[in-house]
Amino acid sequence: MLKTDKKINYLERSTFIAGLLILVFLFGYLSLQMTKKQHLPPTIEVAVSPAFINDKNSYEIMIQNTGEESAQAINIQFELYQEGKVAGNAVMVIDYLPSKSKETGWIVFEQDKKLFDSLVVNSITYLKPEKDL
Amino acid sequence: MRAPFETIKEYGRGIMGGLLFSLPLLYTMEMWWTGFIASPEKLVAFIIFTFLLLLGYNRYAGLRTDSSFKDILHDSVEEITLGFLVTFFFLLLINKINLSMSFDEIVGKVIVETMMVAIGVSVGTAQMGQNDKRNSGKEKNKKGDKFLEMVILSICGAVLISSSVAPTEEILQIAIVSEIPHLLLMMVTALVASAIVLFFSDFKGSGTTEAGIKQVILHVTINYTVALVMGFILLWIFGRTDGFSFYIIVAQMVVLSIPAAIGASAGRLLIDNQ
Repeated sequence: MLKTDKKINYLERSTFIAGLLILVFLFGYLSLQMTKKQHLPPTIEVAVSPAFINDKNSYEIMIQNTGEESAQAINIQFELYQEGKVAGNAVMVIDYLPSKSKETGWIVFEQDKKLFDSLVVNSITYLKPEKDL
Repeated sequence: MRAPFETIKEYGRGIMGGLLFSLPLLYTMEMWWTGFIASPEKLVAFIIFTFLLLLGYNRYAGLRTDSSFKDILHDSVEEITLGFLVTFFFLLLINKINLSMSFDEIVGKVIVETMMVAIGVSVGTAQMGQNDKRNSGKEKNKKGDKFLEMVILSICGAVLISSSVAPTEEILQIAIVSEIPHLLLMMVTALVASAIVLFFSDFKGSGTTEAGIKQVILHVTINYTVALVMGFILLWIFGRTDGFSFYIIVAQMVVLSIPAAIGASAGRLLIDNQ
């Protein structure tokens, strides 16, 4: 900010006080995080529930990271079963999922839904981004 | 005391400057990712680093040079406030923060972007005002201060220009595919670009070849050192040093040194308000 007069008005004073409060809050919050965080690795949980998209064989997928670190390059493989045999599969890819966050997605199979009995998660792979602090 | 209306006009200038200089970063996904990947320690370090930059810039380019430390501190805090507000509302606008996100994610994203926007606010306020008002009360720095001023403005210029590419994956990609001859040529390019800007192209506030070869080498060396160091700091902030070999880190520093050196030379002359 460029001042031509060193005395400040009420607006400048309010902005300054707001800035101080923001900085105090941020430092306080981050300090708390530093002491509280145990740096537990990312933990990905996947919930599958039937969805009804255009009356097709579709599923709503909820992916949640319950860990304390972000997960990177998440790859979830699904398998569609028919009478105990794999009859189809799908893959869901997410770049990043921050700690304590969730994403929702959908899988739609073109086949008739009456032919299939369940969708199961086959594998979940993900990375923990490297950090030096 | 200035009228509040004058302050509002100045804030408007600062906000527009903040957006002008940092808009690419607000639209860069690696910046959002840094917000939630970075550790709290790194975010604290980032806030302190930016605050020191703002103090330095306001000392040498944003304010009258006879301002007290209290005035400079006051202005820097104001710029952080404007940067925070601009960032918060802009990220809301583009739906990169919302209530379904964890608080950690929102805070991280806002901090990372705020710091870059605040530098833009500072430069924008100082550079986009009318010349007659802007230069009122300005005095030339003492000779002893000149070197420090040059270094600090070079740092600000390097950060301002190179921060728009530093967080991107492309820097890493270029570093990985570059052979040693490429890296050496990049260093030469950065050094030549600095020399051209500082001594051979009549930039506003630049020197001339009459300064002598010793001066040219001295300035270009300082300029490039600043570019490399700032490149490393930005790479560290954006998580580009974590888990990589020493060679890849150095290669990334060299890749980033081209925009950083141009920022430290041309950027410095551009943002210098005197």
